[in-house]
Amino acid sequence: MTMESTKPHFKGGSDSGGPVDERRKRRWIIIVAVAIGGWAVGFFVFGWWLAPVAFEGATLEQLNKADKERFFSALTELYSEERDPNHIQAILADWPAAAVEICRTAAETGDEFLAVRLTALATELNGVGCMQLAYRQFDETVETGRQFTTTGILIVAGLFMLLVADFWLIRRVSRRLSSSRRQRAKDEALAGVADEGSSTHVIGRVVRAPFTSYILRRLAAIPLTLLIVTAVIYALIMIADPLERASLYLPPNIPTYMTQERMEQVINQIVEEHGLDDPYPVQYFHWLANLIQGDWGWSPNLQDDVLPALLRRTPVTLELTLFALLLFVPLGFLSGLRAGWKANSPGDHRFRIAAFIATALPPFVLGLFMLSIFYVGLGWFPPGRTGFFTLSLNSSTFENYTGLLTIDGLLNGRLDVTLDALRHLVLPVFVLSLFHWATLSRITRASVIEVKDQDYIMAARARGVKPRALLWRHTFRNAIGPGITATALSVAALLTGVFVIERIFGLHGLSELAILGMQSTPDAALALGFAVYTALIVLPIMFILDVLGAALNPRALSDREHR
Amino acid sequence: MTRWRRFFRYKQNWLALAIIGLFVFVALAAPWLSPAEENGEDPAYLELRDERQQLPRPPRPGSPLGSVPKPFLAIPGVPAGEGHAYQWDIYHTLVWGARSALRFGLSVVLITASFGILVGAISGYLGGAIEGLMMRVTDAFLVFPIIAAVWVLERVVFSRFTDPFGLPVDLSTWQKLVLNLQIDAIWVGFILFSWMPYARITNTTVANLRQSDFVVASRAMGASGWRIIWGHLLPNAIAPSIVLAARDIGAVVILASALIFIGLKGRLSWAVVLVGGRDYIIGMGGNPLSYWWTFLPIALAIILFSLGWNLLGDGLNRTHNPRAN
Repeated sequence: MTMESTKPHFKGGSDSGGPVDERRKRRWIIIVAVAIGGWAVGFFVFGWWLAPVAFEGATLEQLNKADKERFFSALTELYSEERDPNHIQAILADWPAAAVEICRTAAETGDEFLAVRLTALATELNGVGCMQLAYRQFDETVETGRQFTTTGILIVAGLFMLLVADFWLIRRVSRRLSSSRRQRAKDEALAGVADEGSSTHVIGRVVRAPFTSYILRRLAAIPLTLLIVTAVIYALIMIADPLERASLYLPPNIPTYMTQERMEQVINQIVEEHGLDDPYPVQYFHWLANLIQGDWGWSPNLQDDVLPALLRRTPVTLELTLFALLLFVPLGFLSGLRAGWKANSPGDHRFRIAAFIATALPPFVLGLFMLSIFYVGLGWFPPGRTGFFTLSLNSSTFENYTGLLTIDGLLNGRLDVTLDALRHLVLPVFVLSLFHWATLSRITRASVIEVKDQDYIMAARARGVKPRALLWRHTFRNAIGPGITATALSVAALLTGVFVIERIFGLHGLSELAILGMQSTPDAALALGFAVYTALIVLPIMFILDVLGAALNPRALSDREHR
Repeated sequence: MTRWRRFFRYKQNWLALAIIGLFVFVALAAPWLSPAEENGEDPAYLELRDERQQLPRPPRPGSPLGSVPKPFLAIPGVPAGEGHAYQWDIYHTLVWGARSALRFGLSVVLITASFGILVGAISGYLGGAIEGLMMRVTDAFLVFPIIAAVWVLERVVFSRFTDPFGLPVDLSTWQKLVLNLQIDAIWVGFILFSWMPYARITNTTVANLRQSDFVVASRAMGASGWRIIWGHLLPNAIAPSIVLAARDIGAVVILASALIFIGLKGRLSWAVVLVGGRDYIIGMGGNPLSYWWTFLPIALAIILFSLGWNLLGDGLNRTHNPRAN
């Protein structure tokens, strides 16, 4: 491709500046259009399927959960006005399982009043009410939320292919763009018009790719990464036999006191219904489709749906993670910069000893040790999340905007809450940051030492650049890359650390679920949900750090550096 | 080997080798340093059966570092005992734990490093779409916290090996093999989810080396792909991975201990005994040292272990890593 396009450019020679600029702008538009278009098409297909448009001629059985609830609610209204069971029965004539559905809706709805009315309606229909009916019907049907069909699997597969195509297109276009830039740089070099301030320059064979295209590429990589992650997780669970996997699809209304035989019956039914003997890809897409639809399964240990349980505990984990990042990233860079700038000075030696010890300290013992001193002994920094405010936080005067107590306190104008939350965060954030601070600052120190000896620093020094500018503008910005990359790559490790710290300081974050899941009966839905969810938390943080690193250090934009 | 001569010039590296040597010695000499009971159970724990106390007992003759009550939760691989009031001897586990720590750290790091280096070298050598795909997969593994992997493995695979009520379970051949080799979820989880850094480092180095003259020359002479990878690329690209591996041995043991400490199941006996001492770190009146023997000796051992490998990694980095000079 490069050979073909060389000739006209070369002949065009020195006047290639204008048209290439034009073309560059147009290619920009193409990149953005391809990205937006790909996503738009994906989302339209996806969105149509997620929230289908209303269509007529559907039978009552095909209604989704919310619509069923609305429909039954209307029925109760009708019934309370007319008091005519025959009319109701006529409406529901071609739906023999209607009473079961009504009972299920009654069990699942959050509206107690509606539940009572629904039960009454069911009693009118079948004469026995809901309790016995639920038992009688349990062996016959195990309803597990939205049924999934072959069409659904096909749609997800289509979505998958769309994403891959999207990714491929973006790469393709951006590569064409950068090759044309490379060409332009070559032309300029040949024509002798290349100037130092130009935005394109040739470093070996790597040419700077533009920032936005970099962001687009990383964004496109996120769904791909997620697909790989979920595929790996599901491959792990495929090791287990179908009976084990059946617990992924346990219905929410399963009684806690079911006998062994009955449980086996239910499980066998699920295996049949969901085709858990099918080959891996079919099952994987089936599971993924449920996941995307928000059906993450039911956990018998929690007696709760998995996704809401995860969402409820997220703010605690997120708050700890964010504060730790806010503490150790700047500190790590600063101390690494200082130590590397004055390498082998007494301060550097002290730093290295401190960093060595910090990497070797086991956080769990350190955390309890510090609690003993600073909480039991001195009473400064208590464990947990809040102090006296726990009660008032649930009242109507305190709005939960973000779920992060420190920010919510400020938004509500309750400075005391924020300060209290910060006080509770001091010890966990410190213990959590220690290890990551040491790692980050050691990496920064090494890269500062490397950068310090480069020719361009020498040249800048010779040009008479002030020491402060030399340190910050020339050394720091070039030395920051490896540190940011390493931090971005270790977000998952950071999260594992967060879970450990949460346990030790009695914070009820996501780790609560992990420990509960480890210590009770096997619960595949919770385990898988937790795994996917943590990956979902890691990805955006990683993305932000990557973009930050690219913004601070343009070298990171090249392909090789970021593989 | 001037590199090794330089390596031995630094006092720090001698210190690292001394610390690691100490642990290797203790691990090898464990049966002499603290004889195990001959009852066929895990020799890493010494149960003091005459101690029926609920509180940890301080150091005394016959038990030089005191003892700690067994934790209430049953831990797989650890003999259940008849009552919960039995105490574990700290000194005994301190000595025998060196074995399990070294075994865990070395096996995890050796396996992950060789796998990661192989992946990185192959992808770096082949380049193109295959490299893109392999590195995408590597990146995908990176977003996955180890604790979740351990949990999924434990719940889905390993929980089937034991019956919650202690009843015998029918096991297939490979399951028996896994059980006999004392493989557990933490070990497998660590192996599955810590090979990525090696792959990335090796991939970058190999991809840079691929264009170098000696590789091009040997390819021109008709050397096969494997021969180039094995004979030319790996020896030149392996140094950063060795540095990383040395540091990882300590880090892996600390992280695994942390996971066991907060309630996951594992066989690192240091951490298992620390679980017993967990409740005594927060001492009376805020004095963390009131039951110091329950956690301090073992915590110091873990710190020293990790420090030794870290120092070694740093020393190797200084002399063997071409970038760090």
